[in-house]
This record gives sequence, C-alpha cells and structure tokens, in this order.
Amino acid sequence: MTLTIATSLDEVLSAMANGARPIAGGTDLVVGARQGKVTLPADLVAIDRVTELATVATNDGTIRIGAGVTHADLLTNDIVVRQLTSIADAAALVGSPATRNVGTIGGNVMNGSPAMDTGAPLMVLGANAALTTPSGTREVALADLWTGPGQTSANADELCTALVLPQPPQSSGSAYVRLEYRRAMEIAVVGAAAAVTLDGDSISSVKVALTAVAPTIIEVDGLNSLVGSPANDKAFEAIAEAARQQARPISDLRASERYRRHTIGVMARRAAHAASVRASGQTIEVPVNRAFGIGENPENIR
Amino acid sequence: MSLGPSIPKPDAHGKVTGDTNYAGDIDRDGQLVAKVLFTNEPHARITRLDTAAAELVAGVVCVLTAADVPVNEYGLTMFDQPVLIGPTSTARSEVPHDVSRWEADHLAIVVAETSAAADRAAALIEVEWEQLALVPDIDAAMATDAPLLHPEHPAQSNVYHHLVIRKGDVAAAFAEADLVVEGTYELPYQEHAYLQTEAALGYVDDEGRITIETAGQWTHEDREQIAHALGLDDEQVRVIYRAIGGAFGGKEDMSLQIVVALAVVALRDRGIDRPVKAVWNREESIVGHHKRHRGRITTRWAARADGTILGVEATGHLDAGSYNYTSNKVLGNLHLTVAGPYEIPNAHIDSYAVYTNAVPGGAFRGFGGPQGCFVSESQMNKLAEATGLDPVDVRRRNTLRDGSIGITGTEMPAGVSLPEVIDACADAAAWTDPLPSPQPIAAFASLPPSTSTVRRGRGFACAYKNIGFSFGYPERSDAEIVLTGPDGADEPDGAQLFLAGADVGQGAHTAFVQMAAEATGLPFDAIDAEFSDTASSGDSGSASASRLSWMTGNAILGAAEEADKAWRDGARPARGQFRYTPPPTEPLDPDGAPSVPNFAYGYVAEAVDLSVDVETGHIVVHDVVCAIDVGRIINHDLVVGQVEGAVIQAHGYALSENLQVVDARVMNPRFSGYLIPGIGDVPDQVRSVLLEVPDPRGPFGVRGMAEMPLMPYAPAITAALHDATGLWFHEFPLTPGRVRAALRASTVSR
Repeated sequence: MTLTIATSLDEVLSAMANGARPIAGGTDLVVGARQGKVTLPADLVAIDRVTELATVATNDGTIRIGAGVTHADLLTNDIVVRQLTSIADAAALVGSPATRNVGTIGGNVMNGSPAMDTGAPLMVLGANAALTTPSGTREVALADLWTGPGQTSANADELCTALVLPQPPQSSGSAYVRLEYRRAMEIAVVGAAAAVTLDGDSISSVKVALTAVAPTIIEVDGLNSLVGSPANDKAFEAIAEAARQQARPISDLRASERYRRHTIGVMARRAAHAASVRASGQTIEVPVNRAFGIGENPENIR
Repeated sequence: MSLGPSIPKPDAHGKVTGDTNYAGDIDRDGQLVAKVLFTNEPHARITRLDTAAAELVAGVVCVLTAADVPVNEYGLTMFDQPVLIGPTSTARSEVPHDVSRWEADHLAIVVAETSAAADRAAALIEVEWEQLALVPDIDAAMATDAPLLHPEHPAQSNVYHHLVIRKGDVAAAFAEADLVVEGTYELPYQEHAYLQTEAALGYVDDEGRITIETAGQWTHEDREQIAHALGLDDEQVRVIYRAIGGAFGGKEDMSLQIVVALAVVALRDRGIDRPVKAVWNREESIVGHHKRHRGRITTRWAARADGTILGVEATGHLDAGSYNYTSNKVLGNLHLTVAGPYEIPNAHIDSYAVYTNAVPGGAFRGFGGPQGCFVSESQMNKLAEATGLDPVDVRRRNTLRDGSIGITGTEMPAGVSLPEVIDACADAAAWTDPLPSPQPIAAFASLPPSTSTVRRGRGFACAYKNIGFSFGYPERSDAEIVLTGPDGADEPDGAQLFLAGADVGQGAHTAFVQMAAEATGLPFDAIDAEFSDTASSGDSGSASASRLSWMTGNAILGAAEEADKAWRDGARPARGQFRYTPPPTEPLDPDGAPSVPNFAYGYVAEAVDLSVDVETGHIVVHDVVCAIDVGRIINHDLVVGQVEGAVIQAHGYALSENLQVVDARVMNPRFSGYLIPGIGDVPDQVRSVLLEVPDPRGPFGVRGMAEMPLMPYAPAITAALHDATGLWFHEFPLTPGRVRAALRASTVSR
C-alpha cells in the first residue's frame, strides 16, 4: 500500500490518474475498513493538506464550497450560515466534534450515502458537483451524481473539487431537520431539507429534499403548484403529504417503513416551516449542540 | 469521623489522566497474543475441525481446541458450558462438547506473535458443521417438538428451572375482589456497555502459579472456575484484578479468564516461558457476553375498591439463552419482586428459566429485580387508575412495613423503611402540586424547543431488593487488618488492609478504606490497602447483589476488633483476621411453603416528569427524584454517583437501548446501532434524596444501594407516559417508533 500526501491539486490529480484513490478526513473509509465493510485501496492520495480545496468563495452570483471544507468550518462560515443555512444545520449534526473537524463536504457527497446529512440541503440549494481530471472539470447535478447507495456516476480518476451553488435571491431561507434517536453521535433516521424564497407572505420558490427514505437523497417533485400560495400551515401540510407520497423508505434495524413514512412528512413540514421563518428574515440558530447550549451565541459565527 | 464525607477516590486522578493501567493496557516483555475464535453457529454439531493449516502460519505458536481442555466445562452456578466446542474432548465432563449452542461459543484459541498472525491463522481453521434445529426464543423452546438443548441437565427439558410461591388462598382472594388488574409484560434485553471490554493477561508467576490479571467481580470465584477447567487445585491458580472499567454484573461470569489460562498452561507445557494476552473488541464483547434477561410475565392482581391488594397470580418466563450463567439465581429475584414491595396475603407465583440458542441472560444490576419491578409497578399504577386513588396513596396503603409478612410467608427482616422512602420521594417531587404545563422541548437537535405537539406527564414507582446472594447460599467475607506503630508506642499510627473485594468503578476501595479508618480510629491516609489478589487476601465474595459494602464492612469491623485485641495483647505488628458470616438464609421451598430467603433489603422510590412529542414519539425527561434509604452514608458523592449512574443506565433500558436478536444472533453489536444515552439525552435533572434509616444488621447501619435506583425507573416512565397520553405500555424500550405506533393506534395522535 502507498500513501501520497499531496499539497497541490495537480499532485492529487496525477496520483489519481495513476490509480490512487483520494482520502480526506477518512471518517467513512477508515471506519468502513476497520469494520470490514470496505477494502482500503492499494494506493491512497491524502488531499487534506490541499489548501485550494478548503475555501468557500463567492463569485458573480455563484458560491463555491471547496470539497475539502470540513463540517466544522461549514457550520461557522459566514457565507454558509447566512446564505446556505441548511448546509450549516446539517454540518452541525454530523457525528461528533472529532468527525466534524476532519470530515469534509466533498467526502460526504462522494460517499453517496442516502443518509448523508449535507446531501438534502445541497440538493434544495441547487448544487452541482465539480468533478476534475488533469484534462478539465465538468459539473454534474447531484440528482445525476448519486446513482444508488454508496454509488456515484463519477469516474475513478475524477476528483470532486467543489460544490457549486447559485447565490440564493433576497428573502430566501433554508433549513435541514433530522430525526434522530440521540443528540450526538447519530445518523439520520430520516431527514428533510427545504429552501424557500418569499415574495411578501407568499411562496415564490420552494424546494424540498429527503434523507434516508430512498436509495439516494431525493427531491420532492410537484411543489411548483405552491408558488404564489401563502407560506402557511396549509402549504406546509401539502409539502408533508408530498414527502410521504414520494418517500420509498425501508424497514431496518433502526426504524420501520411505516414510522419513516410518517415522520418524513413531519420532518418535511418542520423543515419548510423553519426555512420560511428564515426567509422572512427571522433567525433560527444553527443547532451547534443546541442541547448543551453551545454555539447559540451569534458571536461564535465568523 | 471517616464516614460520610466525600473523600475523593484515590484512583480518580490516574483514571482521568490515563495513567491507570487496565488489564488490556499492560504489556510484558516477550508477550504473545491469544485470539479466541467464536463458532458463529447458534445451533450446530461440529463434524470436523482441522487446525493443521492454521498452525503452519508464520508467527503462530499453537492452536488450542477442545481436546486440549482438561475438564471442558465451566459456569458460575452450574457447569453447563464447554470451554471450547470440538469433535473430541477429554471425557471428564458430561456436557456435550460437540454442539455449538450459541453464536459466541468458543471454537479455538490461536496463540501467536502478533494479532495479524493470529487473524491469518484463525481464517485457516477448517471446520464443518451439521445444522441443528434452531431454538431462537422461549416459545420455540417450549414447543413440544423442540430439541433438548442440554441433555445432560436432570430436568430433561428446556424449561429447566422452576420456582413457586403458594401463599394463602388465591381463588378466594379473586372471588372477594372488587376489581382485577392484569397484564402481560414483555421485558427486553439490556447490554452492560461497560467502557472497558474484556481483557486478560496470563503468565506463570514466581511461585509457579497460573496467573491471570484481568477485570472481574469476584477474584476467588474466577480462580475456582479456572482451576476446575484446568484440572488444577485452587492454590495453583492466582487471579489479580487490575483497574476495572465497569462491570454491572457483566463481568461476573468468565469471558477470557479460562481461555488465557489454558494458553498459559499450553505454553508452559511446551517449555515457552512467555506471557500471553487477549483483548476483545466491542463487537466481540457485545456478542460474547451475557445480557440482562428478556422475558415475558403474565399477571393478575385482585384488589378491594379501596386499593387493598388481596391476591397476586403471576407466571414468568426468563430466556436463559444457551447457558445458565446465573439464570437460576436471577429467576429467584424476579420471583420475589414480581408482586412488589407490598403486603400480599395470597399469592400464586410460578417463575421459569428456559434454555434457548439466544445470547445467555445473566447478572445485570438488579439481577431480575428490574423485570419484576416493571411488572409490579405497572400493576400498581393500573390499580391506582382503576380505583381512582393517587399512585402514591395506593402504595402507602399496601407497602411493606416493619413486622409485615413478606411474599415468601415469613416476617420481613427488621428495618423496613419503604413507608418513609415513599413519603420522602413524594415530598421532594412536590407530588401533590399540580403538574406544570408543558415546557418547550426539542426532541432532537435540529429544531429549537417548541410546545406545539408536546404532552407532559408524571409517574411514580418504588422497589425493594435483597442484599446478598440469598436463598441459602453460604455467604462469607474475609478481611485482614494489621496495625502498625513505632516501637514502644501505646497506640498504632497506621494499618494495612488486605481485601479481595473488586472496585469495578463504583468506588468500593475508597469505601473500604473509609470503613477501615472508622473501625480502627485511624485517619484515612494512615490505611495502606492491598486489594484484589488471591495471593494476598481472603475471599470477599463478589462485587454484586448490592452486598459488597455491607459484607465487607462487617468483615472490616471484625478484623479491626481482632487486630485491636492483638495490639492490646502486645503483638507488634498486630494482626487481625476475620471472616464475617451473615445470618443464614433458606432456599425457596419447592412446594412454595414459607421460607426466609434474605437477611436484608434496600428500599427506593422514584418520581419522573417527562414530555413526549406526539408527532414523532420522542420523550424528554425533565426531572427525576430518587429517594433511597442507604442506612448510613459512607461517602456522599459516591452514593450520589451510584444513584445518578443507575438512573441513567435505567434511562437507556427504558428508552433507547434496543438489542435486536434475530434467529439467535445479535444484529447490532456496536454502539452505532445499540444506543446508550449520551449526555444530551439523559434527564435534565436527577435529584438524590438519601435517607439514613439504619439497617440493624448492616455495618455502621449501612444498607446496600447500588442496584435499587435502577429498578423503579422504567415503570415510573411508563406511568408518566400514561399520564401524558392515556396509554399503557407493556413493553419497552420506548423507542420513538414504538411510542408513535401506539399513539397512532389511539386517538392521541395528531
């Protein structure tokens, strides 16, 4: 086995062109290997020291989140917290402080788990994944990237270098709500993200995506009919019903199909409500260990 | 003087800073690795076992199988478990050695230079099995065509242990009753989830003894079981406990002790003088050791309209799993607690232990008591509802008191303090005040607290539990104190204390030294103690059954008195040895006639206040009051630590810990799937109300207390959930999915 510790994108891409596989925080790969679920690749290239992958930048109506940005950085980043709040919500819920400090958004996206937390927020915010090889970069919509549990349409030599999102218009808000069984060190039983743009009191745009109720993260279809409606309980209940209808949950050790189908509606409704509250200009703090009262002070956000 | 104050545990600093060595941390020069291979077969007969390829792996020293075990059997209360499963064995045990009855039965021990070599070798062991009909649960075990799992047992049935109580005239009680409350209760497994997984280091000591350094609950019993399986005398074996990272009953039985000792013998016989160590990872620990029993109990209570209980009928089955462990004894505690700490004039109770191929049930804090208590307190709360009485008042009406006749038909040991405990709990919980309106809760982290879908409720439960092994077991506890002082001194200025009793993290050693200081009149720092080495101390019995402070304190008092006598007689140093023998107890009568099973009890009551999100089924516990009579406080903070620890362990039992066993296999042997509460999930507040009503037989008045606070919590939670929703829950853990399903089936759901 070889491990190349890269400090530039070029180094990473050439190692990958020679068959190496990228490792960032290793929170999925190493844990999976220890549990015997995956075999560690023979050649690895560490990308965690590639600083050009670890920035969040705004440019001409586009927000670019480097694939190497950690969850800990996401939940305190000013651009993310103010404009892409649901991503901060999700990043704040991932694992433990240790996981959040090393785990990256690129790793979360490319691991392709239908239970990933940052996936549904990225989807409702219209993110594309930038996939790069030595010969160039292509952008792929997330709905086309995720093809099944743990599967993506990316080629083996493509590195996810960034998530690229349109800057949300004024009067927009987003939220991610996750049903869990304990307050830390958990993964989603089900989850929902919503992004809402308001025109006064009425909805001018609404998107909802669902976590852990299908082989991939899925976006709820047919919500355009709500455009022009007031952002009220009736609209939120319609969203809940659409989520219940379109979810394809399974029964497993963690929850029954029936419980997941019921609660995905509750999560979608609560997410849409919270996104609307944020879109109206009110603040709902990102849940940085809210249970312990940590991080509720806006001064902690830089 | 030395009793009461919260003297910091002398071992605390080392544990917090990482200096302390647990058995798994110790590495000796030239140490080898032992790996235990599980059969991974819940029920199958082995037809072929070939270790030749494994033994050829570079770095492998030897591979041991059933044929290498001198006496291939062990067990804490009866020998029904082979050390290793294999097609051939020495003929010195009647337990069939060629049948794997449990997925974690042991198949072979690989001793190697490195764990990588041991893993490679383990993968090359060739084994063939003939599958046998699986007996996954109690129902399958009791089917008429069920295979007999232990043909060597005299019962000749999977239902191998039966206890009865026949008291008064139950038929007349039901005929006279104004009302009957009943229920069938399904009790879940619980995993001990101690931080320290099983580990053992073995070597031959300077005096030629097969020596095992490990973590357990009873050094001398470990030694006895090791010696039995190895065909040795007890004196040829030595057991030392290093720091212990939690036990809760889960380290009362053997895990790695015998297999590592076997490896030591094999190395010695090959002329290899090297230590050997084995450590289980978390999956091996969860799959490989026993659990709190699951079970099913059906009961009916007859009562007058004024709430007076007239009679109890109960039939309970515990899933003992593949081997007995301590199931026959756990069954006894279920049996005594299933009718609650109440005056029951008429009772007809049958309790059964049943062999299956599932993970064994065994000792776990409360030892059958939590299961019995869930039934009795659920019944009591239903009785309160049926009569319209307050749940506290209906308990006051029926509680055991001094002079009451207990469930086995004989007078309770003196010092029955439950009436005071119930009052203290109700007072501290402001039970008669109206319940405040729902407070905002966040059932999970992603949203701020809200009241929109929240209902609030309050519940009460109480419990009693015996102290000690009970049921006629010949209890004993040894202590030795040596008083020292400068030549010519009139009074000693120091003492040595020799004791075996295990400090499993509860602070027992600190409490022992405080009691020794009190008994000798010396300061805490003047006591130099040596603990938990069979080479230097007599038998203390186990750290279990809420017995250790009680028994050991009496032994320390005796040893101090003997040492003082020797000092007065002029001996320097002055040695005092004492074996404390508690009042005798009796086994339960096979026909249910009166008996005296116990010499002491502890009493506890709890009140909880919770909210439930009726949309998702999530529960948040706001406040817990635990009132407990501890007799006499030895160390205040350690007592509070036991109360809070037990409540939190009970919180997991009641709400989230959901061990899933499918086709006799544990499906979630990791903490990512078996959810113990995190600090964000535990009750917002646990208030310990400590009473000191002396136990007349306890040392300094001490009562046992470590198990009791775990017992009433689950039924207090279901009572509060009933208060909030109007629904009774007959099974738990109360996972959000289970709560939500019950709400959906009712009219409560949104």
